Amino acid sequence: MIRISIAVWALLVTLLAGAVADEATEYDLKAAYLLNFAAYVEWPSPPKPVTVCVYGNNPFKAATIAALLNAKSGQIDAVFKYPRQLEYLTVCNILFWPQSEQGNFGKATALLNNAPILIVTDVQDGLPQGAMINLITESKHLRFEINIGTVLASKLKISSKLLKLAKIVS
Amino acid sequence: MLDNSAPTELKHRLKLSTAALLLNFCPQIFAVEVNDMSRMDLEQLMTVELETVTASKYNQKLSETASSVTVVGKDQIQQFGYRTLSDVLRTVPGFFITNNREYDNAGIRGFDQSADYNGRMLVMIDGIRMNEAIYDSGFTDNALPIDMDLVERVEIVRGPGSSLYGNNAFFAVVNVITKLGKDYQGGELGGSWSSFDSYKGRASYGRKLDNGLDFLASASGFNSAGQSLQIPEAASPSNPLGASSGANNEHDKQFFAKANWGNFSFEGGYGRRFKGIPGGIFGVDLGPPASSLQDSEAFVNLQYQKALSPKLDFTARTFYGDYDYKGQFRYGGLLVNNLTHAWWTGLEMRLLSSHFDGHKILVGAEAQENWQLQQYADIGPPISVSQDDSRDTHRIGIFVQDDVDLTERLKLSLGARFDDNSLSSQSMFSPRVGLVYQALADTVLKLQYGKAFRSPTIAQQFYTVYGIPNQTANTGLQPEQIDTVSLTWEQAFAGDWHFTATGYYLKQNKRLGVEEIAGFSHAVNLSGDVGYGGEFELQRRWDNGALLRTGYSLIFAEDQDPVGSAPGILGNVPRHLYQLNFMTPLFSPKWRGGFDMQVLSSRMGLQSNTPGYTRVGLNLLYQPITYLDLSAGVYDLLDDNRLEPGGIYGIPQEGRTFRLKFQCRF
Repeated sequence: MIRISIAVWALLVTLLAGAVADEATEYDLKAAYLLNFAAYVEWPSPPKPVTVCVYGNNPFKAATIAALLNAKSGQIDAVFKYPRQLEYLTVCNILFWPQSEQGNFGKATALLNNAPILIVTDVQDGLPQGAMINLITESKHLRFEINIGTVLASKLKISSKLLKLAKIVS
Repeated sequence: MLDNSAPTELKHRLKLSTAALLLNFCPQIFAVEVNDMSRMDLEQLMTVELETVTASKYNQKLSETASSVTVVGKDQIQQFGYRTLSDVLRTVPGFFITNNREYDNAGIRGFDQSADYNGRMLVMIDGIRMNEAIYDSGFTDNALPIDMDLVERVEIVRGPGSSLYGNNAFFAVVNVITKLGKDYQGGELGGSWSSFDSYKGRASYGRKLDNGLDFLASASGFNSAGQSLQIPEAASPSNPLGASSGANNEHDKQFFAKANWGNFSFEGGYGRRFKGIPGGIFGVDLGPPASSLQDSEAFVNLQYQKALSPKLDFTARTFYGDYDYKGQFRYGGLLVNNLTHAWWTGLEMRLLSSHFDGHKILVGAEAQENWQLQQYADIGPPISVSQDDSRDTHRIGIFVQDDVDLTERLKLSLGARFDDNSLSSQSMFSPRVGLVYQALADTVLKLQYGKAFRSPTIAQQFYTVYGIPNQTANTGLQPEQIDTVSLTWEQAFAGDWHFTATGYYLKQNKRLGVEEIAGFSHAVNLSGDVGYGGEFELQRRWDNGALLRTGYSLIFAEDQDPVGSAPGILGNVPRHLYQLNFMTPLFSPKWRGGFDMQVLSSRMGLQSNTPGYTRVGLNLLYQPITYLDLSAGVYDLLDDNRLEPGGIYGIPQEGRTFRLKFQCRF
């Protein structure tokens, strides 16, 4: 009897303890990178605010984006948009292409054809497919590669500080 | 573990690491909370570490490991009040702990290892093998040369690990990962008082310097008068209850030091555990004088790790180990004196390449020379030497593993190790195949087949003693082998819940067991055992630090040996194992509570049956200021874990005990 009552008690405590909030995941970190990139990029005509687009299946949690925008509100003026169709991408200043949408990536970069949009992705081998920044995992850390050629062609300017942090592919 | 990341954000990283968390399933979990992360700039973000397990000798994401894994972090060790590795393991699916008043022993997937000194489990500290060279013991009590307060996390990988680690990685691999100096940035003093006049003290100092040198040093001591017992086997007309002399005392010491600098890391430790054996247990005299045993183990590891190119990592390490055992057993006025000593040196090298697209290839070689393995025994009075053997042995292993990304969602892991042991004429080949399939965004399926082995110990092959228990050597022993197939389903749901289910089937061949003929016992290769069952684990962590980890294991294990015991019956297998661990902040962030429970069903033994038990632990942690932790804990609150298998009547356990503990930092 006592065993059952303990098990029930333990279950109750478990259910009652629901202070629900989210734990930092891989994509929370990627979202933070994405927003922080805005501080290192100059567009031909400075956007206000910077429109950060996440295409297709949104891997980011709304709570994380809200926390990020709130924490960075003094430094970075940005909004997040979640277009699901390729033709809406032209409004973006930063475009994030998640791994889950890998199939369409080449098509999208071809379509955008040197538009002044910072294209960031975590698909495998994103750079040859037209990405400017590719997020990669390396020795337990999240790192990124920059394709300078693609950046130059788009008339975006990337600060040397960002280049210093990146692994550069010319 | 080496840390090559930018050293600029020292203070910040310290804070992050104190929030270290791990869940079994998440694709990746960071030691950082969303709110902290939001405020970081890019440079700081780049220092955030992805948490990974070392089940494959290189860091790999949890969900990409084909094995079934549980990770227990330092926050759990503190909040549940775990005192030893045994305390951690007893909360993990598939594991249960027995204590025979000599050692703690881990039962895994139904197989009790009490007679085996945990030789069917590989225990490592930071990837360094701890199973010593005489009995292959993988200690989980205080004989393990590390204080649990220094542990960052414990990684428990169920299933075979011989394809990477060779000998002893039979049922499971347990890797104890220690903290770094940067986790301390100063000194820490700890002390505790617990039941049976037990005192423990610890002093630690760790720091990461601006030049990148990270170091940690620590010393611990434990003294316990121990519980007085009643052993029915020892009852006599003059002592009808079989009250033991109370020689159940324990005296332990542990020293540990590590340092990382650039590509080099050094680590060393020493542990010594003296344990009095209560009269009556295993038929030893009531005393005084009492019987006792003492295990000492030391290890030193020097490692060099360098990225030769962006796609090629090189690791070399050289290691030294020393093990010493002194056993004094008194039977009917005769003293059996056991002195055992071994020391070993070794070298391991490995290369990890990602040159080929979609492949991660690991190749390596490991060699260990065991010098002067001494086994001495005498019996008296009058003293006659019944055993005095000294010999050198070695083991050499080469291994290769290829983790292949077949598609975006399907990963294949192929591995194999070839081992040569000078004690055995037979070379061992241990292959492993794993498939990891990301079926849906929140669903991962893993299929694994692996072969593992355990070599006969030098004690089984070359130890003979004639006394009350006559034990004879058997030089004809062969390694035992195990084939294991497992299927694991990992599912995340409702955001933060993680569910893991594993089904397994295992078959042991040439099991090393004991045969007794006319009062003489010796180790033999029996034909084998079969085990199958399921392990289910449900986890959730809340943002406020609360955690739920609960598991159920259904266990079947059968002896297939027509000789010896009746076929079909394997001793002391619990059919059901249920574990619940829940910790949460209470009242305010300064107060934290931990509740853990293990329910074990009854075990049918060959000599006696052991009733099931419900073992409950409660621990309350109070941190009035940042620099001070106070905690109070009760173990086996219901006083229900009273008996563990052994002898005819079973071995009495401690029952309900208490502990008060403090830690302060400066």
